[in-house]
Amino acid sequence: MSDSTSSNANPIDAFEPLKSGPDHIRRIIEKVLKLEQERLYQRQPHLNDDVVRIIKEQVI
Amino acid sequence: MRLASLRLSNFRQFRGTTPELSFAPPGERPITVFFGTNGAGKTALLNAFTWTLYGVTSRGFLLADQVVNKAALREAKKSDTVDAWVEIKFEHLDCNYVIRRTQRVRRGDTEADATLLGDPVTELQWAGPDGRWRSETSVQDTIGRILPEDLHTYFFFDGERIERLVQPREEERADIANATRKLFSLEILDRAIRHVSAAKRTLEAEYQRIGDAKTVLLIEEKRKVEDTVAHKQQRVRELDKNIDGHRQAEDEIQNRLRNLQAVRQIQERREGLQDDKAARSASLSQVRSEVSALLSSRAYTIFLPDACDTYRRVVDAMRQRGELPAGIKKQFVEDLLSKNECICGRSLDHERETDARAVVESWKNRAGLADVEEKAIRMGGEVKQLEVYTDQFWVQLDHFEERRTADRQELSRIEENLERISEQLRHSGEEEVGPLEERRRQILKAIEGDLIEQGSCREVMKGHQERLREIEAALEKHQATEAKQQLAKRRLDAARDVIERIEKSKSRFEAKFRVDLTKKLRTLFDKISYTPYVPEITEEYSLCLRESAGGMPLPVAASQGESQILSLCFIGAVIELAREYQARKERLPGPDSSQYPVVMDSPFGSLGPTYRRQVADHITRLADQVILMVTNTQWRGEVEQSLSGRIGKAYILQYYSPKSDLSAETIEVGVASYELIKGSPNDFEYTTVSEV
Repeated sequence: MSDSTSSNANPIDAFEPLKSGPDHIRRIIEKVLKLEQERLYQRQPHLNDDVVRIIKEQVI
Repeated sequence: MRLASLRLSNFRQFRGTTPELSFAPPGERPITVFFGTNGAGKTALLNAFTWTLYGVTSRGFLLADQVVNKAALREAKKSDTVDAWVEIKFEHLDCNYVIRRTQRVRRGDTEADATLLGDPVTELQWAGPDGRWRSETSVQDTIGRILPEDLHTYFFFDGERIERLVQPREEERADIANATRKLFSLEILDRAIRHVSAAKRTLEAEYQRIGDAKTVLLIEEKRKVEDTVAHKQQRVRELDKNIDGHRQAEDEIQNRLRNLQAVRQIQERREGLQDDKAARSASLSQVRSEVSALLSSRAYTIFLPDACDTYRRVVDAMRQRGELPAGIKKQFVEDLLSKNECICGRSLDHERETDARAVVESWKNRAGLADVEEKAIRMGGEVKQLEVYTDQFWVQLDHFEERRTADRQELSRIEENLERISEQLRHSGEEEVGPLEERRRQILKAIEGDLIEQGSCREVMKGHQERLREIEAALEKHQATEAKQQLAKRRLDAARDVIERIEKSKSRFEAKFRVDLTKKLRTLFDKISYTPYVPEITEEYSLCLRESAGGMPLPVAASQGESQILSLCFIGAVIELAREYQARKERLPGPDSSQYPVVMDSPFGSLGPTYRRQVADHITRLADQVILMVTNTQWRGEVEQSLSGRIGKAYILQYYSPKSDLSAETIEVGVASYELIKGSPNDFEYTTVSEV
């Protein structure tokens, strides 16, 4: 059985890019992902205005 | 999500309302089994979950008008309404939920002639840790957050159709991929990238709208204009110096001429004339300033005579009509009317003396012109004053014109004399005098040239300074814009950074996730299957089995049993991995749960004995809670041996048939034996549920 492919061999943290940015970038990412989670049940949520608002609130 | 209980009422085979069927909780004995023969309602139970939670049912299972139990309809009278409903209680993240979906039907002449009364209605109540129950209006949103609809394939499935995961129809393929991506938050990352990209386009448009091209052009123009003004100022200063130099040279020449005995008198006369010229020039300038002042303050009056005439005509007409002067006050007329008596003593009674009263009343309007009269008197004074101003204006202007003419004539005479003197000196027989005067004339020409150039420079500077003021005003306005523009740029940069980071994370996570899921799937498949095949997860998250041959996996055609095993392994791997990621906090926000229930209808349907044991052993251990629907034959033997130690709850679905020649079917659970088929005491079929 081919078990040679193991993610443990790769220590890179997949979410490191989301956590390593400047404060405002991290906050935008956090809020956008939370919003996406809340609307995950919708097939095609319209979030453009909300995402623009999040970015504007964090970059002032 | 933990399923707590289920209750059915007149739903499909289930006649009347069932008792509350509670499910075994997660733990040592997390399995709940429903035993039933074919047609007893096992698939109806599975569909009760999906119909209630998502409003969907297995393909071809439940037509809308078949929701209501036939026996209940038959027992109802014509025009009676019958409700079919399903109620599920569940727990999720410290909250208790009760969801009930109801379809109301009205019976017609026969039970076959039933009319649906609207769409099914879903009600959801929930209670938090405080124990207070609340109604939730956005039911689909709430359920969608707990367990998104397209994930239900993994948690509520029909074992006899489970191979669809391996051999999906074209339209199902994307659903399976989406469900997998959603469970592991990949869908969230995809959507975030899509939505932040759309937001970035909006921010780009805003940035362009604010635009800096105009500011740049203005700054460029300002710099050019300032350069020109500086250049002209420099030239004016140079010309000033030139003129000073020329004037000194001219003074020196005049001094020398004055010192020459032969022409001294002529030179002195010239200097006297030059003084006169300066005085006249000053006088002329003075007159010009005074004319300007007069034009500014009084010239307007010459345009008013027509308006004054019109005014007089209007007032005269009013006088002729008797409207002016207004010799009577409005209040006085009103007093007469209220006393109903005229000053002449005549009655002004409303009813009897209507004509007399009307005459007195007409005075009210005329009395109203008292205000107009006051204004007319004041205005009359102003009009008269205007006419005085007009007369004075012409007199003063004539006076200035006379002075100007006198000055000009005098100046012209002086200049003629000066020219004559100059000519006299130029042609003087005295040595030195002619060349000196010639030199002086050249100097004067040079001064004149310089002054002309200076004037031209000043004119250019004036125009440019005007333009500079305009540019500065525009720039000031644009500076506010510039701040906005910098902000828009920072926002745009932030959006770009966010997209880049999410894309990077997504690609890392996807690679890691595919490796982990493949590994998990292969381990599980290896435990269960005795074939040498290797399962593979494609880029689109669909499944296939490959035959390891010379290290090169090749697609193989899987049997139905093999496909079912693979699908069950996939579901098991997905659930286990989701739980592992959750436990290791190695996840993004997504469907939030650390407990996953699995509801399986006939999962051992077409499997041989070995596979039955393996599936029973391994798959049921992956989920926190398992609800199984099985027939007698699916249960007996390997499955029973594997699972009996982990059963927490068991129910019998007893099927009542109207047929008389029934072959008995019983199931042994523990030491007891239960009949799965019974004769119906009336002429319709139905099912009842009872706990073992």
